[in-house]
Amino acid sequence: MNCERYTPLISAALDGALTQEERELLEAHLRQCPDCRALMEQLMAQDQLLEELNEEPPARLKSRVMEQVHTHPRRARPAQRSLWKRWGALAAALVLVVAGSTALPQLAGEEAAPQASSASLAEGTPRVDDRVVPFDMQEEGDAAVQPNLATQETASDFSPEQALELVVDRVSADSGYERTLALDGDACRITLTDGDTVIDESAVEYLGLSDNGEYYLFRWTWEGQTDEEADWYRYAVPLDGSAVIWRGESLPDSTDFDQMFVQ
Amino acid sequence: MTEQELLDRARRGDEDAFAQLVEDNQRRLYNLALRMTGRPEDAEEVVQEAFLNAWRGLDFFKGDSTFATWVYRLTSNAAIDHLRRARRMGEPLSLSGDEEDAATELPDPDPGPQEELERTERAAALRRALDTLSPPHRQVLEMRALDGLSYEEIAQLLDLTPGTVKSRLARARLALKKLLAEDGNFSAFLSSMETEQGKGGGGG
Ligand SMILES: [Zn+2]
Repeated sequence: MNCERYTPLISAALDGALTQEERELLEAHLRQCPDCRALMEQLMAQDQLLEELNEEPPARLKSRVMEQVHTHPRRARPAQRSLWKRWGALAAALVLVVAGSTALPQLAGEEAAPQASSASLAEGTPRVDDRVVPFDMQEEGDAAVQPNLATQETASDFSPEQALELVVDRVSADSGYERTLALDGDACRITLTDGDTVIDESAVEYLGLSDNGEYYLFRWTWEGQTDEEADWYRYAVPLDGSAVIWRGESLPDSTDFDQMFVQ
Repeated sequence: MTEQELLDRARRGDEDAFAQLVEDNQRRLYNLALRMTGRPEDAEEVVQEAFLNAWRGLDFFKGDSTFATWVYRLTSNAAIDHLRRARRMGEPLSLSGDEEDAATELPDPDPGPQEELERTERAAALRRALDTLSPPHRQVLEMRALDGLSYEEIAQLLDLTPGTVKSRLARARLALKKLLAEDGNFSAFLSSMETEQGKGGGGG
């Protein structure tokens, strides 16, 4: 009877994946072969049992997901400066060095913003607009315009340090352990402790800008990390700080992580 | 609303549209995470992480694959990450309320104790049999029979052709049947199912 050639068809029939021709072939065989009929029924029962292994997700799962989604809006993510404030003078000094002569207005960004806006409002310019007016459209030599440049920059672009903070939070904020952070050159060292016991030591390292100039790139390292892990634990943050993209979120299929950031 | 419409809305920041995508995918992802981590509280955490990753990464999802396969991969990655971290850092401190949650998740002792017991034993035996399969066989069978993914989706996730998925599935089903046949309880159960289905005119 050559039943073996029908087993792939039986299996595909369970998945509704037969062509018209295959179905007719199989049906003709099943009419005259009790063994294959029995096989098909057994495999059907087996699939049914497998499906029953699934469990219902807890009812709260969806609402918890949506709570998190709600606290991570996709647009207008505000700059998070809290951690950097805690790092205090060390972080500030670093920003100064990195940002050079334009650093002062940037550091004062939070204070400068309302100031700049009120100056614009006095001139009758809508507040929202002065953040989007391109530089070349602003009147040259207008003293009131100058603070807006700083505002514009702080409003739209994160510094590498701010991006680093986001990645550090991403990899360690919810560990459940006490966390100590220390700036070390372009990296931030993370120590997790439970009382006096050191649970874990790792570092997030800033690698530089992506090829297309749109992302800050980072990697998360620890001692004894395997090559595979070194490759896997890499992160990208768009310049506006709107996301932390982990390689493991590995984005469209078959896309190499680096290739995503090349123009 | 189609998946594409939901995605477009979610990309523009519409949380209700994203909630619908969560609704449509959460059962499959929760069970995937549960199989990988083995613990309901870990599975829940992993799925939350994966959905949050999806939300934050929506702009990177270009529609080369279906949303279902994309979040499936995110969940699998989040589970691997979770297991690696657990290995590196030991057991994280349990979040408050977990003990309470675990208590409420105990199986309901009320309905038909004998029947329930048989069901639980059968499930355990089935899991054992699944674990005995070769990993490639187990993988396609779980993705198809438990997760309900299509041949095309499985092919995409495992980087195979749909034809390979089809033939591998047939072999996996036969291999599992053979293992179950060696389990006394199971062969009796399966042949009783078979008789019932035979009487019912081969329905199902
Ligand atoms: Zn036959």
